[in-house]
Amino acid sequence: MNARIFLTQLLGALGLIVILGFNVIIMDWWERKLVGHIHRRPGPMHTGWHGILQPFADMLKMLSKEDIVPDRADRLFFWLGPAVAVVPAFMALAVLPLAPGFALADIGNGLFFVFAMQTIMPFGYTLIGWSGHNKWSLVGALRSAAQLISYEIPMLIVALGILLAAGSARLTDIVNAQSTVWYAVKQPIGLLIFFITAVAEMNRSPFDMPEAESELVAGIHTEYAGMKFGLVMMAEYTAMLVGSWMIVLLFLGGWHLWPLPPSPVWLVLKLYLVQSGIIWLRGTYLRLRVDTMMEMSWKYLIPASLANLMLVGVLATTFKGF
Amino acid sequence: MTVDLEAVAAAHSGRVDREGLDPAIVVPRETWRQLAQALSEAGVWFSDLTCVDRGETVEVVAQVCASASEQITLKTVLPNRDLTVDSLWPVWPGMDWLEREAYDMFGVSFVGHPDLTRILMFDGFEGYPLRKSFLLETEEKAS
Amino acid sequence: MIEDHPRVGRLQKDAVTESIVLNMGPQHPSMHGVFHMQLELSGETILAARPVIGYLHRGIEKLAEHRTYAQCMVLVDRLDYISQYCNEWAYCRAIERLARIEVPERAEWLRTMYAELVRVTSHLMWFGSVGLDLGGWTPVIYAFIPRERIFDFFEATTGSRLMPNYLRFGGVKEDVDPAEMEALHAYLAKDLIDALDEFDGLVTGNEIFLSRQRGLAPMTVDQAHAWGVTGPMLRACGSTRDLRIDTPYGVYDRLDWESCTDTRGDALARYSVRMREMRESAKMALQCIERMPAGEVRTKVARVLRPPEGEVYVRHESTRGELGFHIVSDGSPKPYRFRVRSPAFMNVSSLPHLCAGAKISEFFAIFGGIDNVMAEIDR
Repeated sequence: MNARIFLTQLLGALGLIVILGFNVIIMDWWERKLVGHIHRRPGPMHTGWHGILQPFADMLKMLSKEDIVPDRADRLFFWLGPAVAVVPAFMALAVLPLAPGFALADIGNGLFFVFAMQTIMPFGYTLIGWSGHNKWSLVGALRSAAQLISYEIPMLIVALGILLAAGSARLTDIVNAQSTVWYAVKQPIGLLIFFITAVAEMNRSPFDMPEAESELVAGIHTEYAGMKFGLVMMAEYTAMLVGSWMIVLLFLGGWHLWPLPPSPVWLVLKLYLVQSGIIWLRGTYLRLRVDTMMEMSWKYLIPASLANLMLVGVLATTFKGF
Repeated sequence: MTVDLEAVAAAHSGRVDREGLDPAIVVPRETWRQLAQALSEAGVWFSDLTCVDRGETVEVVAQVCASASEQITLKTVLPNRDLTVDSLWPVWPGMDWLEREAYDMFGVSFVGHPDLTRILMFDGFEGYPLRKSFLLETEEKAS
Repeated sequence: MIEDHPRVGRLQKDAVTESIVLNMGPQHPSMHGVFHMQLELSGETILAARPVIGYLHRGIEKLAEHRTYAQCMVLVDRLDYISQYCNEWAYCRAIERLARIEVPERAEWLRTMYAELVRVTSHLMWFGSVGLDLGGWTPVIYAFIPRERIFDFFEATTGSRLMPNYLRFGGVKEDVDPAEMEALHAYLAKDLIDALDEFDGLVTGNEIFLSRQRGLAPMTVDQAHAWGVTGPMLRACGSTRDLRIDTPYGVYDRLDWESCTDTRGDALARYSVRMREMRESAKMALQCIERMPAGEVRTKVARVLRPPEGEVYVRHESTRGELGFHIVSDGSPKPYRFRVRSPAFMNVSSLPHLCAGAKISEFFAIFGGIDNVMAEIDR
């Protein structure tokens, strides 16, 4: 690898981190405003125009807080946990394209790379929950591990359907295969299952069992304060971004908005629409119970995703160009 | 009246006191639980149990309902030197917390209660707050 | 036998699985007040539960023995601060029965109206917290909108939203401003019903909500009687006991309403009974406004009341169940014994039975259905 490519990649990676930080700030504000308006209240209003500076104020508060490590916590893993959670989410972003070929690494099996990275995140959450030496966070960690693992399976099976139809695991190819008709139209069941599992993978309401503030105080991050809590939050928002990005790439046509010419603007627009939808869910639904949530994955989503895969297989072999 | 108070009282060597606003059955403490048992079998349910400190004695007072609108007071009088009486928990399981509270506030021991510990005051608290001999801080200063 | 296998046998001998004890509360984001629950858990399943109360014990029963009867009214407000007027009314009824005080006709109507309005606000508060317990923020914020509107009405007459000190022996403190009553009538007739319809749309029909409440913590009538459970929780098991009908007081016998019951006995039944009770209470309050006769609202009572020697026990259908006041008078201006039979105290004592075998996440769904107020439990 020559030095120039290395330098561009490095700059790109740094740029990505800046964009990510920006995304967290925007989403923090947007979530408050949106949930606020769903609640018939204005949300933050005092810091800047319609509270736009609120996330910065929050960040300042987090940075200036004392960094507390509980006495009996496992110090090494207490530090390591947030890092293990946040790094894979960042790495997954490296292969997600914004425009045709415009990604840090538009690798041939990008689809699997993203899932591989997502699989590491539960380890981070489990470490976060376990290392704090707190019963609440321990229960949260076990819930998180069970939840993330069981929802990965239907998610992957649905992604296989996409792979079958697109004939490539390169994300750019998958998006380009949807230049006229989206996979959302061709595989609506797949989209539904993928959306549900993606929300569960993000630990968002109604699947926010690991946090479950009304049951487990603050769940996995009960003992976290200051900037380490900020990192956990960043991991969650980044996971949300990755999940929504995958939905947009796999099902909603990425940068295509037929008959208009393709543009990254459509992708960003769709990305934030999907994220707003996920926030809307939080404003409307109550939390599922732990066992019904597990049941939902193993009893309904996995069989449904298998059926979806078979259907796609049959259709793809019967009709040319499906 | 769905319950013949006189007969029930007589059967448990007690008497019926009709001087108050509601009729009351007063029994000696030996027949306290039998009285409750007999009433419970007649379909009477309980509403409340508490104590009244009368100085030399402590009255244990239970309020029960013979029908939806019909109310009977049950009483037994305990001498101050020996505040023990049979627990009504075997008859009405809901008496659990009421008897714990009476124990907590008046020091009445309910024999046969499964878990007679303090409920509103903390463990290790000394004295029984609702006894007349328990003085408030302001009273202590005055005396 | 597989246990005889040397390796399995050793595993079974050495492997010790312990249950963990989780102290839930008194500081917990969704504990209703300072309630402490010791849960013994095996994984997420609750093996045993032991409630620990008393964190809010202010000794109201003792304090009352050192205050005159009229001064006690302020303490009574602070018992169940969510349904204040029910407490005050129950206390007034006890004293009025003891001292044989007559209450003017209009005052009875006013008391009934206030008690039913406060039942609506109390159930609204409960509805919001049920949503909160199940992980949704929206219901609580929606529920507070109508609640605040009714509080505005309370404030206009009594000057206080929560601690009104409004009822007096032999009536109420002051008459209501007719314009306020007019405005409230318009609100109850339309906007409140719209809001309740909206809540039903948001929560009652929600599949997640139904799946979490249906069949949860079932209770039979016999169990409820044995544990001393009263109020909406008892009516949800199929009992028709409602003191407003059984021992009529106020003007309930002259109003056109029905007591809400359900036969299922589970958490969903408790929810449904309370949701319907709100509509019934709003209906009753409307009828009170429409039919209220003009007249005096207060009889003359001695400034320092000395009820004759004796004792009285009055049962009252409060928002949470059977509220009892047991007052012993020795003829002095201060009560000799002031006893409160708190409905929530009895209802919460059934909690260990209800939540054994449930999951942690079910605990709050069960606990929310009890609708307790710690100030009343600890007194």
